[in-house]
Amino acid sequence: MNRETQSERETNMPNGMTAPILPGTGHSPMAGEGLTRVIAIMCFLASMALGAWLAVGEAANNWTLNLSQSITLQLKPTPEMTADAQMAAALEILKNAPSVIEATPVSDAQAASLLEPWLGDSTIIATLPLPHLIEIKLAKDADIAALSAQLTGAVPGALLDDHSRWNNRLARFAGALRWLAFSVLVLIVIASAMIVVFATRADMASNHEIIEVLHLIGAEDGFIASQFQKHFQWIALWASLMGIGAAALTFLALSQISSLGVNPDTQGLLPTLAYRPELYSALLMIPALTVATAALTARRTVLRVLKEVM
Amino acid sequence: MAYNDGSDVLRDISFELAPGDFRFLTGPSGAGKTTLLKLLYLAQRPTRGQITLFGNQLSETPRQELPHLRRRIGVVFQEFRLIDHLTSFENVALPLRIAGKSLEEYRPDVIELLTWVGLGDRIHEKPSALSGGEQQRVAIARAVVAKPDLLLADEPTGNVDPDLSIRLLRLFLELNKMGTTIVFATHDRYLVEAVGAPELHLSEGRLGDSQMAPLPPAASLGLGDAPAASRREAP
Repeated sequence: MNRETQSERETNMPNGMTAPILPGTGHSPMAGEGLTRVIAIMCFLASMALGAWLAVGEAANNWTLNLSQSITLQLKPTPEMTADAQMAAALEILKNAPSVIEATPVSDAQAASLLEPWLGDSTIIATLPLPHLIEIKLAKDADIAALSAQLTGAVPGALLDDHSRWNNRLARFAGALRWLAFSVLVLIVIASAMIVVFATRADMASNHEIIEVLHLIGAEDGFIASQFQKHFQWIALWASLMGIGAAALTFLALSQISSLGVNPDTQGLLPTLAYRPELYSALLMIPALTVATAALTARRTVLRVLKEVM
Repeated sequence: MAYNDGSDVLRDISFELAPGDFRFLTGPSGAGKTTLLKLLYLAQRPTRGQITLFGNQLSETPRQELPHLRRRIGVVFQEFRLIDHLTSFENVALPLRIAGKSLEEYRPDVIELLTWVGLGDRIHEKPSALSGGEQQRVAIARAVVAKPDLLLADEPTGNVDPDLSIRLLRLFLELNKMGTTIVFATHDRYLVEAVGAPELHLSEGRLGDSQMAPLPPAASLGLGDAPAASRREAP
């Protein structure tokens, strides 16, 4: 090399910026590639478990809420009253009941379409003496028993179905499901944290020589630990952001797929979840936890290694 | 510096180095030269015995003060121990960085030193791109860059041809003239005789002693006693 290029290179030396003592820090985010991948994958899985927990919780809430707040009044044909009179009397009571938000008679055509899957041909259904139905939306904490007594007293043939049989079972099922999803979330978070710890330690083993050299040339334990902490913080931050980024994309894609060709009223679980800000604020806790875990592991590992030497 | 050890590797060793001393540390392979140096550069504690370094009785020195003592010691490791992904410049600058100096402060010194050891055009190379002799000079530059009071070199001329080893030796002598105490472990009789500095001769874990008999084969090559200006035999 001639003098000119040499001095040129000297002046090109990064000013005020020192090279990281550990390989790859800062310059290449793909430093510690194996570790990056492991952390990204574990963060993705943790995000999925978190999303599943939120989705199951939300769905379970919706089911029980919808069921307990919507009841159906059946008006069976009776010799005492015409169907129209039954309907009018029932609607009159419902209109005046404070706990009823909305009462909608189900038209014959709608009733027929409900039966269609079972009976097939709608011409057969038209000949059947179908009960008339009124869908009722209740306010929270409505006294269903009082309303039922009032209706059956005034309207012969009235039968109020409060879905309580279903509702109780569903509530229990939803509760169990929520616990299951939560346990899976907890297990995955614990497993992820452990894998991050092991992967960080494994990656550190390859840097053992650096720890020793720094130590022998007079670096203080805190200095060495900080170098490693910074190094692994960056890897963990980068990798976990990749993991949750991939998870966020997955949630959006799933909601797109699951809402394709679906009636907007009967949307699945995911469409609402994917657009809810809580999901994303919860997802952001994953990188925070991961960075803290990796940094702490790196720091403690270095300090432990150093404690064993003089 | 007094040293007295009772481990299996080294026994009954006691000597003192005054500031500005130059000592060769000689002896056959396995005699404990590297172990003795490790004790001196504070990589190991003696199982028995005492080391006093720069007036600090090591057994009574708290651990957190050892880094400051280590910074006063430059070490040329036998296997260099350069950090692979750092350039020559960054490797040599490491002790100064650790001491908290900024790049602006140390850059001229590091470049000057690298030029002095003949690596002015290899500043930005990583160790893998350097020859054994070049790596050795980087290792030497790193050992001396912080102007240590004590310089310990473990076979610092082991990987280089005779011409270069003479040049490197001259570098050590220069440093010694400037007041650095040097312990220079070597196999190379030629260098020892060229300098004529006093010798610490180790064999089978003991410092060479004319009273010791029988002398091991390596000692019988005439390495037995060095001019022992400030060496004290074990009591």
